[in-house]
Amino acid sequence: MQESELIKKVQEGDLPAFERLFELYKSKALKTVYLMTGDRAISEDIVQEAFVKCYTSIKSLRNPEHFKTWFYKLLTRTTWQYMKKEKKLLPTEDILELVEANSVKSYSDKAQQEEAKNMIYEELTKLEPKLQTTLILYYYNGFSVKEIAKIMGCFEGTVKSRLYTGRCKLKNNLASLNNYISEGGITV
Amino acid sequence: MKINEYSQEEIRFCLAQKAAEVEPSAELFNRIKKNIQELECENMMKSKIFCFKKSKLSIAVLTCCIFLLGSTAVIGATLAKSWIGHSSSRYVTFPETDKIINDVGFAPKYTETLPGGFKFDRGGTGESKLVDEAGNAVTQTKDVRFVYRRGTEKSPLTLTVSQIDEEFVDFSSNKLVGNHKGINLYYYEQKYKFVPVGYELTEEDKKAFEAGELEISYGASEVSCANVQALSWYEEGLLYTIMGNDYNFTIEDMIEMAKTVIEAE
Repeated sequence: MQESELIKKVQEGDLPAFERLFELYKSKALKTVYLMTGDRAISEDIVQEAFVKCYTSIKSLRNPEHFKTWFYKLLTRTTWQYMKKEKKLLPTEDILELVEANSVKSYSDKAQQEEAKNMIYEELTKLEPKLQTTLILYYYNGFSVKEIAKIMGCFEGTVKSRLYTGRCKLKNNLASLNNYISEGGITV
Repeated sequence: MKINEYSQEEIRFCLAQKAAEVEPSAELFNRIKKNIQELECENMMKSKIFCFKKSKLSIAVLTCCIFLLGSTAVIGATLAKSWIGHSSSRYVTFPETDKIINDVGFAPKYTETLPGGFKFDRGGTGESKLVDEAGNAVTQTKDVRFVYRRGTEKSPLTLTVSQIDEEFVDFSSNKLVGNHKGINLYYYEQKYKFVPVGYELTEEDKKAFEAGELEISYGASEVSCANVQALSWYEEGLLYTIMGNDYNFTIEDMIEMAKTVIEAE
């Protein structure tokens, strides 16, 4: 069955169809929220809330072809609202703490690479929510600039600008961190 | 590797690697279904309360709960977890059969008056469904409801007719009290306490509930009690229930009402 047919059935209140739709989206949805929150339990709660909202408001979706961007709009907003309400800040490990932790370890090449990649993620979580969400939707979910604009309710130019700013900040933060580590005699 | 020498591909890889740390739990969908089910129940309650507030009949909220409880009382509790649905008041004058067929798709037997001095006051239709533990609909019904009043008495009497497969009808908690034209008549009587959501039961409530002397219904705007009496029968795919509260009818009184409906054209 085509996804659009499935969505029409869900709009008619068909719960088994909704379960099939859930199966299609659950994994990517949870992982996206996890990248935004860094917390497994909170991510499940948010995804649960988002799917309930999806079921109860899907009748408002006029064109089933637009379901994916419609759903991710709902998902990202639910995540932001939840985080704001719960005041659960995204993981913001202090750079100095990170360096201290690194300084007492020795790394194999592979471990160094792993750590560097972790640092990319850690630095990404420190970006403001809209920049961070834009980068996650672009680099993890593979959405186009046009799709992200629909999801985030902004102009395509804004998305491009956020991608650029996000990348620059990420690069600068990583560069600062790299310099700090190098000065401390640690080569990552 | 210098960490500032990352590429876009590395960002992709890094995010994919981080995302791989989680997978949805097996219970997630059941939790979602439960939430949906609770919301539907809540909306149902809200719509009923709104409906009755509009018509300024505070007693009707109570009646609405009685109607729901009465329905669940004769529908197999082991087959389904919850009975959810909605209803609307749409007949302010005695409706023609064609109108009812158009609204619900079937023609019930009904009368403008019932023995004991009851006259048609208003009516409505509804749709309901039984959902199992997992939130799946076991069966769906369409209902039509006729509300009768006697003089200036506040408490109404209702005749509810539901189109439902016989396999979902269970009279085991009712008492067989008669047979008219080959149709068995089942009587039901129970004390109910209607309470708001979140109400904490008293010790007395708990004892009475455990002893089967009291049923508790959540969702009312205030605490109240009523003695509910109902007479039900199943005829040609339709479940009929005449129900009243605090009338102190005799069983014979109710059987007379049932006979009137069964014999209606």
